[in-house]
Amino acid sequence: MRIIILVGVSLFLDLLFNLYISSFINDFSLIAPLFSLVVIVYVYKFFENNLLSYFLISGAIGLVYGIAFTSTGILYLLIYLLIALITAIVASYFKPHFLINLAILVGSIFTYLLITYGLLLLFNVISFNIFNLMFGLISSFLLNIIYLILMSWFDYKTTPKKMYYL
Amino acid sequence: MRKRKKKNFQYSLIIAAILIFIVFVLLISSLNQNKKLNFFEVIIKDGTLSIYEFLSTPFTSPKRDDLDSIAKVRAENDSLKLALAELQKEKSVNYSDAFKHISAKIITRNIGTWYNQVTINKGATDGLKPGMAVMNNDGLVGITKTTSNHFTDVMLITSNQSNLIIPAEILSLNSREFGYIKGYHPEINQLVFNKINHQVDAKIGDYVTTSSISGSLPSGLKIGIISKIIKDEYGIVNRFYVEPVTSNHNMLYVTVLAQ
Repeated sequence: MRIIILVGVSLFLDLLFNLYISSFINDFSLIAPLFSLVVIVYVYKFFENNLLSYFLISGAIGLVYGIAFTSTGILYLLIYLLIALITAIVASYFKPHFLINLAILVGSIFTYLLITYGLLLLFNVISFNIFNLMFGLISSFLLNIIYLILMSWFDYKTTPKKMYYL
Repeated sequence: MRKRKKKNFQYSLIIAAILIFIVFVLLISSLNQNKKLNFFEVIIKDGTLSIYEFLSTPFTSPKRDDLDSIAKVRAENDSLKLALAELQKEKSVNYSDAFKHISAKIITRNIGTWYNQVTINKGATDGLKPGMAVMNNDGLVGITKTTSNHFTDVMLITSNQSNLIIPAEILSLNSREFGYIKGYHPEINQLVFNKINHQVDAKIGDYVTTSSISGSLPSGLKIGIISKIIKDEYGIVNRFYVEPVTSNHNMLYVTVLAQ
């Protein structure tokens, strides 16, 4: 139930923040939301012993996000599965900790943006523009890191102490 | 034993190659800019965005001031329609707008990634199709891209997508220069207008509008104002920088011109 709430709220906020930021803030150079990606990194700890469910959920999030946002569901399904795979591999070497989540998130955002940019360039959907690439990379970290902090804090406060992995 | 291992390795390679091929085919079909959404994609898109639109209503409803001004504009529109009907009767003029105006609300937008597009809350059931002009009070905002039953993706003119080419013309005092808009420089907020011929009569400050020869888009929609003229290495002018008249920010309502 907790996972469904986290995923649902993240997807909802992702859509809402994108609209609000573009509508009411003229310069959004540092605040591009990718909350659906943050939640994939964060919920791994609930699926340490059940990786199949983790990949299924990550793929479902990617599919829904891709179709709702860009009408390219398959692209996001594959990319989010890849991000989930990277998260699972890296996290398996460390004990669950907020700083590990943070490091995985930064790497995941970087990977996600480079792969989407590369694929769209490869299939001639967009034209190459280094400014666009740099802008996309720089704008994607700050807000998402803040969201991870808030989500971790909220989860910590609402979880019984015995169950919490920190 | 060795032969068995070698066989297993070969089978793994074949399976990996088939999987990579399938992934590529799926990606190509997914990224095809002219594709239509299939049945499942329509269901997921309509379902997700309908739920999101319902939940986001408290955050995106128009304010009281906006509601008052909408009522005023509506009243003004009604009186202008009456005046137009009377004038048509008087002058025996038969005027009809070839394009139907469909108002829509922007419900989501994807910033921070490479798709510069918005999603509006009107779709195929409202008469929308790909390739229709979308405008606001200032001018052309974008072109409709993918439609589901109740929602439509609109590719903004400030998008860097390779297949976005808008037939356009420059209106100057002495002539009309035909060309097309292709490309956008976000760092300077300038569109690029490419001319069809190399003679230049246009100058900085002239308006760029949609072209009368485009066919699918209505002509005369403002796109921008020429801000710079680019000459190539031989001194022949063939490109102009155009500052868009519309702003991408604070954009909540648009109008789709449907044929």
